[in-house]
Order: sequence, then C-alpha cells, then structure tokens
Amino acid sequence: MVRILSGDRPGSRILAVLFALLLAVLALAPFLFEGSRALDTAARICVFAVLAASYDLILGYAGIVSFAHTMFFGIGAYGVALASLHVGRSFTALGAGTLAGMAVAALLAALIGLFSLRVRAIFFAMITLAVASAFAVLVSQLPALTGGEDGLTYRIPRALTAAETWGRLPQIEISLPRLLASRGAGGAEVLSLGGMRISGKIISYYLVLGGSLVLVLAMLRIVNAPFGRVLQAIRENDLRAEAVGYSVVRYRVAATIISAAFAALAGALYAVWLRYVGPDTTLSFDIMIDILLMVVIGGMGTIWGPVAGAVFLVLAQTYLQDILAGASDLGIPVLDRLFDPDRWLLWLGLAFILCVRFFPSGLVGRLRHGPGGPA
Amino acid sequence: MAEPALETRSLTVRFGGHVAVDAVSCRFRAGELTAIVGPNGAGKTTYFNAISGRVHATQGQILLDGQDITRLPMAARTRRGLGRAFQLTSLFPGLSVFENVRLAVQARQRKGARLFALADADHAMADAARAVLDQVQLRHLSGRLAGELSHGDQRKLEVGLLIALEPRVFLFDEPTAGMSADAAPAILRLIEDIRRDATRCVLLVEHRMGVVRRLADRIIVLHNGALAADGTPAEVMAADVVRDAYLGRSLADA
Ligand SMILES: Nc1ncnc2c1ncn2[C@@H]1O[C@H](COP(=O)(O)OP(=O)(O)OP(=O)(O)O)[C@@H](O)[C@H]1O
Ligand SMILES: [Mg+2]
Repeated sequence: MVRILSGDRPGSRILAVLFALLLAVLALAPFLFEGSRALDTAARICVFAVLAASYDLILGYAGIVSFAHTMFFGIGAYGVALASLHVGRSFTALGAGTLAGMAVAALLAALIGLFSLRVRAIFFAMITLAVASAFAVLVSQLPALTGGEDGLTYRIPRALTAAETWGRLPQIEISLPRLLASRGAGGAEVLSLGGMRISGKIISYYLVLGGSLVLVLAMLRIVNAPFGRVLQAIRENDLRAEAVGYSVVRYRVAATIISAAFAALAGALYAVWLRYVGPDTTLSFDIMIDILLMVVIGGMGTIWGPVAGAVFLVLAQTYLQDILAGASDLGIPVLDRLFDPDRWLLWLGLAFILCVRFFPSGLVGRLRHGPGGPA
Repeated sequence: MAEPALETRSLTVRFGGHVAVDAVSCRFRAGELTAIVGPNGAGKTTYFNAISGRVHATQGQILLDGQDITRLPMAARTRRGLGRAFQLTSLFPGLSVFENVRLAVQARQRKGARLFALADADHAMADAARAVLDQVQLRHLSGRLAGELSHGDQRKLEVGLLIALEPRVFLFDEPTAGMSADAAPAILRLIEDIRRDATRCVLLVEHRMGVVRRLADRIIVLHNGALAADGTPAEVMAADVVRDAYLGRSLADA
C-alpha cells in the first residue's frame, strides 16, 4: 500500500483517515446518494483532483507560474470530443482522442517552454497568459471545427450511458428482529438493500474514478522519483541546481510537458463524463482561478493538498448556494440579505482569505505540521 | 609534462567598464592544490564564476582536460567534472540536509531524469549521501532543513555538496570562512585528503596565509583582476610585488 503511494503518505493520521474516507465515499458514491447531481459532483471532484494535482507539479514542485493550464485541460477534452464526432461513437475514438489531446498538449507545452522558460519566470507567466487567451479566442472563432461558444455535443459508446443496463445489485432483505422493530405493529420489519440498476452512467463514473486514481498515484510517484526531487531543488534554488549539474531549463520544460499531459488526461476524463465540451466548461479563465484556489487552499507542493483543495472547492461551488439558500430563509432581514444564494462567491472569497491567513501552507500543510505550517 | 586538468587562456571578465578578471592565463594540474589569494575585490570569485560558467567570459578560453568549455552552460561543466563550492552559501534551504546532499549524489550518479523510480528506495544514493554527511560532520543534522542550520553548519553543507559531486577539479571559495574554530580544521583536513589524490585538482581561495602555507603547493596572486604572482609558497611570499599588493598585511596576521 505504502509502495503504491510511493512512500508518500498523507502526512498525519487525521489526513490518512480523511483521505481513506474520501476514497470510500467516492467509491460508493453511486450507491450512497440519490440523484444525478451527487454523482456529477463526485465525478467533478475526481477530474479536478487530477487537474489541480497536475498544476501542483509545476507550481508547487517546480515553482513555475503558468496560466495556460486550462488550455491543456481543454485540449484533452476537445480531443475526445472531436474524435468522437469524426471517428464515430466508439471506445477507439475515446482512446484516440485522449492520446491525440495528450500529444498536442505536450507539444504545445514543449514549444511554450522552449521559447520562454530560458528567461525570467515572470516572462513565462505572461507568455502562458497570452497563449491561453489566444487559444480561447481561436476556439470560439472556429465554430466549424470547435462549435464556437456553443461547444460540441457528441455521443460516447452506449455502454457508458444511462440507457445501458449492466446488471442489478443483488437485493438483500434483512428482517429485523422484533426487538428492534418494536415500534411496528407487531409484524417483523424488512429492511431492503441493493437491487439498484447498474447503468452505463455508473460504469462511466467508475471509469472516471479509476482513471483519476491511477493518474494521481502516478503523479505521487513522479514527485517522489529522482525527477521530482530535482524539480524541488530547482524551486528552492535554481542556481544551485544548475551548479550541481542539473540543466535547469531542460527540467523545467520536461515538468511543463508532463504537467500538460496530465491536465489533458483530466480533460479527456471530463469529456467522457460530460459528453459535452465548450469554452466555459474547459477553457475559461474562471477554471484557471479555481485550480489556483484548489492548489493554494489545499497546500502547494504536496499533491495531496490540491486533491483536498479540489474536494473542498467543488463541494463549496456545488452546495454553498444551497446552504446559503437555507440560511437566508431564517427571516432575519440583514442576515437574509447576506446569505442570499447569489452571494456565494463572496463567502467563498472570505473562506479563501481565512484559509490563506490561518493555513499559509494549505489544509494539508496545516494538518501535517500543526499550526504555522512547516517548522 | 601531463596535460593540465584546467587551464585558462587570457580569461577576461568585464562588467561594463570594470575589468574584474584581466587576461588571466594559468594551468592547473591534477594532484596539485593551488591557493588563490588577493585583496577583497581582486576578482577571485569572479575568476571562479567564469570558470564554472556562472558568468560569461568576455574574452579568452577555459579548457577542462584540454577541451574547450568556454561556451558550455554551468550544468554541463559540472557534469564534466568541474565542481564548485560558493563563497556565499548556496543551498536548497527548504529541503533537509540529507536531501541536499542526496540531490548532489543523484546528479553525480546521473539519475535525475528517472521519472518513476523511488528516490527513497535507492540505497546506493542514500549510502553515498550519508558517507558525505559523515565527512562534513553533519550526520546528526540529516533531518533538519538546510535553511535552519547555523551559519557554520551551512558552510559545512556547502562543502558537502561539492564533495558529493566527486569532481576532478574542485573550486573552493573561502570554504571555512564563517565556520567555528573547532569545525574548520576538519574541513581543511578534508581538503588535504582530496589534494593527496593524484587525480584531483584543487583551487582554493583562502585569506589566511597560515592555512595557505600549510596546504598549497602553489600560490597565485590576483590583483585588480590580473595575475600578479605565481609560484611556490616560498617564492610568492618573497616577491616584493606581492608584499606591496597584499601580503604585507596578511603575513603580519599569519
Ligand atoms: N555581477 C557583477 N556585476 C558587476 N560587478 C561585479 C559583479 N561581480 C563582481 N563584480 C565586481 O568585480 C570585482 C571583483 O569581485 P570579486 O567578488 O570577484 O572579488 P573577490 O576577489 O572574490 O573579493 P572577496 O575577497 O571580497 O571575496 C569587484 O569590484 C566587484 O564589485
Ligand atoms: Mg570572493
């Protein structure tokens, strides 16, 4: 187990329990919650965990600031979409689209990296911003290819859709002992479990979950490999890393490429799940900000942190409005205004500021090292 | 005579109008320890910077084992066997002492590009790193962050990083400056051990003439960036130019 985790444990007992719990909930999500919204949230948690972790590879480990991460995410998603449209509805299309998206993302990352990672960090950040903006404009201006602002809807193999039935969970009926069922009018009560239909949608969810799990574990492995240690060294002191014999530019470019490839894979998973891609869901600058928040809230340079950050932010985005709606029905005039569901962004912002103020090393950093982050 | 391990030919470094290193031509052989002395601002560190690739040579050439490395980036020079310890300590402050040394070992063993191997499972690296930590007497601080060490211990780690690289040419820039009086002798002994290895070539910038006299096979004197004297310790210390330029003060100290 520890070996699969690359010897990189979450870092504290509480964290280990929390992550185990998270995994259990995600694994049982289709059967724990009713309705498609919960499952959709669970799938988004998986995808964004991968996306945030892949951003951590460059931001947290290599110390590179990039604003092009959503572009790579989008490329992966559009890869699957375009392949599904042009190759036809098939698993081959999913595979080919994923690989193509990954290759394009890696190539683009290599180009940007080679042109701009030699110079100052701020310059690289600007270049990524420019390229990502240009890419987003390009996508919206090429409706024939990309569907423009409307995006693309396509069909994935039937085996992965709600229409397909893979089977049913066995039904278990437990008759409760009389003692427990005493509130009943005398007869034994029967508790019925299972019997649920396993649709293709659920299989699709497990594809997303399994894929995300493998990707996050792979990234944990990378950061604990010699390569990952070099990235940390470069982040800490690039001059010294170079003096010790590491060609800093090459490592930076390699990190950018690897991170982009993982982002594209996250995008491909997202595309399989949504069966739709559009600029707003994969390329928008809002998502870039979300990723940054996830990494910072969770704790940079830990992989575990961004995963936690993704869980936190996706849950907040999905349910904060509901919670606020509940709170604004209390009938207290000022509070009702304050808790208006439309104000959810305000509350998220507040939570972010508190987070950065009190856990400067992120949630995971805080739980690993106690108050004040790393000693 | 054997080919020099390191050679500079008319090596010149200019910063704007200021000539920090002025046409220095010098050959350094394996098995020899050369002390580089000169007053503050004489250009000793800049000379090292140019040799190691930290700054560009404005003119002249640098040859390592007879091969021109003048245009190579710093990392490539290190990989060819040119190692350096900085005068201003330069470590990986947020990483542990052990990790600092292991990173140097890992570079030396050419393992940095391994993407999926587990660094912690590599016993060859760990053993080599521990051996270096023993040598620089930092083993007991393995787990501490480098940035948290005392100044003296950081100086030791600086030397440790260089030793871990196992280069053929060592550039030590005032290695014991800032070390406590009881720590410095051990580090100087380490440098003596390195000199005894006939395949190693050592350049040492050092202000204390007592140390220089004891360790050096040869002394070169830099003054205003130019080579002012070059010879055995006895020769150099007898030269008038050297007394006037620099040694008058230091000889009195020594
Ligand atoms: N990067 C730089 N840009 C401009 N001037 C520089 C630079 N580096 C060094 N100098 C100048 O070059 C001259 C030589 O400096 P250097 O650090 O090489 O001297 P040094 O002999 O190592 O002195 P010390 O004994 O104090 O370490 C100094 O006048 C210094 O100000
Ligand atoms: Mg100096």
